[in-house]
Amino acid sequence: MSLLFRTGIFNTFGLLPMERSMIQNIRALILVLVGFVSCNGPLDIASWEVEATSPLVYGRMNIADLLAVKEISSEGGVLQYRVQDTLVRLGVDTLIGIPDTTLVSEFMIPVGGVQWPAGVPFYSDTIRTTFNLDGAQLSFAEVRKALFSVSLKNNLKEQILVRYRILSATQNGDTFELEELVPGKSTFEGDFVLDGYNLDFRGLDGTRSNTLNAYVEAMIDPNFTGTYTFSAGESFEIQNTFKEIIPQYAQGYFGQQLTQYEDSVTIDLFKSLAFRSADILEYDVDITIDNGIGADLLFEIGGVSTYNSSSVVSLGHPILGEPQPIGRAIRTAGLASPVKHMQQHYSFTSSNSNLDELLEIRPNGIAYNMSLEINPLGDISLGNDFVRFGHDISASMDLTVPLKFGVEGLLLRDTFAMNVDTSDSEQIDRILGGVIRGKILNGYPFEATVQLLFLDSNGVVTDSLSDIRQTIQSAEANGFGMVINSVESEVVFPFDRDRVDAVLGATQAVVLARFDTYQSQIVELRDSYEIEFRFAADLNTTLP
Amino acid sequence: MRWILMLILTGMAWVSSAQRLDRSMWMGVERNAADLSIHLGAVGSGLTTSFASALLTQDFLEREAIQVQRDKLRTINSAGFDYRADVLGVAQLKDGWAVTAGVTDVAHASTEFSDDAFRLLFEGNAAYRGLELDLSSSSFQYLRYQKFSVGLMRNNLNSSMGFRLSLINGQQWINANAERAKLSTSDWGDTLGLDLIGQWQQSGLDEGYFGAQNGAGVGLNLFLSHDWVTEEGTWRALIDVRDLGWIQWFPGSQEYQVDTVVTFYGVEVNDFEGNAVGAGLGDSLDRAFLGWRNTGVINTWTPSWIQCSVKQERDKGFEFGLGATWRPFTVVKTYGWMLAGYQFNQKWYAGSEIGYGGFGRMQVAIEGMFHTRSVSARLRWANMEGLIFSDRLGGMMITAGIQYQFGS
Repeated sequence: MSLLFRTGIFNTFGLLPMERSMIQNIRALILVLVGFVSCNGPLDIASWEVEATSPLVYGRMNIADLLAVKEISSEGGVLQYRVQDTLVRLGVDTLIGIPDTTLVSEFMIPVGGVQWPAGVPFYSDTIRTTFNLDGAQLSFAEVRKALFSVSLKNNLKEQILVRYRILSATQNGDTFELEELVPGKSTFEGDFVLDGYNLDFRGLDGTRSNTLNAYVEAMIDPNFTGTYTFSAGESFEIQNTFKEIIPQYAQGYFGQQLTQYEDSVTIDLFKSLAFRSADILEYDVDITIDNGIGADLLFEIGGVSTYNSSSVVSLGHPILGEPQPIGRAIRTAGLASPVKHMQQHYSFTSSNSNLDELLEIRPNGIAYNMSLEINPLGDISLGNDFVRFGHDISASMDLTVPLKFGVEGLLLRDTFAMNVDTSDSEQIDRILGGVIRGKILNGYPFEATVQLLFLDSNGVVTDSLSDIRQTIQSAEANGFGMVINSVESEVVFPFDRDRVDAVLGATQAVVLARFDTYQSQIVELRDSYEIEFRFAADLNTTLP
Repeated sequence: MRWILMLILTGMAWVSSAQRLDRSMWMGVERNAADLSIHLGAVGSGLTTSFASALLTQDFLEREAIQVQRDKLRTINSAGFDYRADVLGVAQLKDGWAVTAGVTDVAHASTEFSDDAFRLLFEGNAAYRGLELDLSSSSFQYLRYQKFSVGLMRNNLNSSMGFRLSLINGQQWINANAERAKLSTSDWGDTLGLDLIGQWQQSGLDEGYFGAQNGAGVGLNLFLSHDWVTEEGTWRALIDVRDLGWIQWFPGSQEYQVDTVVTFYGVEVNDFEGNAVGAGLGDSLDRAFLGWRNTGVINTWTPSWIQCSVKQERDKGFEFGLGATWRPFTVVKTYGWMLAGYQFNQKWYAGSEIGYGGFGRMQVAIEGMFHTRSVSARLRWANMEGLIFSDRLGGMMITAGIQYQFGS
């Protein structure tokens, strides 16, 4: 055979260097033979390069998703940022909080040998409980919820009968009454519900306020035969407590109360909405004072400002610093709405305020201070102030900013977790590089540039897939800033071997998008706008 | 996975001929004998020896080599690999009877694959965006087992016959076929579609060391030969049945029946919150496959040989012969051949063969034999065309045997 090779007979087929080729082929056969006979030792075979294409991710998103702010809603198809918050609320419990109040009375026989017939009171008294209501003078209340606790301690040898009547508490014309047999040398304790009772706080003569009267009698059990002989030192004690009184309705004079409020409302919108400059044209803030009590009010907004980490901008508006009188609510005969509230609205618009300046600093919150005075002129109702449960004094704010603006350098970023299995390092090492391609159908009327960043578990950027931001073209808009056609763009992020480890080892990826409206033209964001995207990868890798 | 790939490629790489049984030297032997024979061959069509050789001997396959090989493929290509090592003892009894005992190690791999499958494996799908790669009618089978056999043989004046019964230890088995498999990649690469009807069976994939006990079975070899003496010499007719057998693979064997259409668009991330990138096509396929998974006992037939041949035997001069080989339980086509040789004297013989079928097409082989009273040796080199025209054709097969005879 070697003679054949040497003579060049096979060279006519253009196969030389034949001997080398044949040796190589025979070597290959021997390799296979050894591989099988030795069983299972995997033969080392050559590797080769392949280019694989695979889809990566796809989906749709809109600005509302990206902002991840719950206050984004839609009104007439236009996205708007709306914050509704109650700044102040005063209810019946704050206006006339009735404290728990306890009275204790005791009767003791100073000398022994006194004989007393059964069934005849050996003790009777009127108990008067006066509540300290911090300036308020209540004359009447309907109880929504209240408890009356009583403790009857009988130190006599025989059982006694106690009659307890709260003269000031009536329900459908009946006075609250309690009869209880208390065995000798024992104590009775009980809680009784006063829900639904009317309480007359004027006392027995009708001239007092904040006062409840009760009448108590104690006697030897009428069923006891004969007479009872008291021993010296025998006693009887009564302890009563009114607690947890919540009126359904209260009437009287609520006093002259001045309260100052100073607080702030957080604005989340701008945490995820960063921009270099913005032109906000439309906004609307309503502050509403709602008086649901039968007392006059004097309301004053001392100041409103927005703030961020570096600056504060104050609001300008004619009502600031000017006390605003608000009339008292009116009782009505209607059961569905027994109180007619008095409301006062204060509107902050582009024509009467500089609120746009407050928003354009990308504030973290709104700070405010205000005061509220009840009965600024004193008891002009002659004790006929009233409050009904659920009808409060409140100050609320309704901030609405339609997302219509011109913006430059609006920066949105979102982070999503990555969980690529990199345990097979050999497989990772085979990746030589590739290209991630994105096809983006932009339905928003502004141009965007996007960048992908990859972060490690400490949040440190390990790599960026592209040093150059890729541009997404703006959708076509009409003269009113409304989109008439979405526009498709392609973005390309090539990466090489050096970037593979950094990218695949990342635990988070960040999409960084920068938006600009054309020459800061005012556009509106509608809920129908969205961005459709598809990403695919061309991977250059070796096998096996 | 790596060695499976190696097997596939090895099987694909060598295209060969002479895909038939060589006459075992123990058949009809009239003295006590110890016989060792090794058969190793890979055969097929489409792939060249150069490509296979490069795959096995180089560190890196250049793209040009892949493209050259790709252009030589037919729509459907086939390849196979057979390995057999046989150690046998023959002890003569009386009246022409003899007993045999032996140990055999057998491996068989065969595959059918489309040119698109080659493209996908060696080039990837990036170059085929907007197209559909048809991987249908692909199959792969690999079987490795050991046999422990005893047998009986009888010789008389003009004929001999014998059989060997075997206990089989199943070491490893893979059977895969794709009745329909089409992979489509969209123009832009944002959609992958897989339409697959197929089956995968395996046993001992994780424990494939030599002699691993993953199945058990029985096997049968038998032969029957008869000589006719004429003026032109002796004509010997031979029927040889080899490796007929059955293996039951132990519990734990796995079977997947898949009939699914998967379209993969990537991972949907409509809202970035709560999403994690990491799921992929693999997960979808895992779900599809696991839905059709069975585990348990699986029974298989062993790839077998049935061969009929007639050959002239002379003390000196030219000899001729022909025959046909049928391979039950394989994808191999029937192979037919003719041979011509020259018996130089009682010791030396040289011959050549041309055949058609099996895994390949036209194939050529040469062989030589040395024979004395005590020692017989045989070397056969088939698929010469694959070695000589290694850039155009492929294949290689070598059979070698040596026998020592002793006693009276």
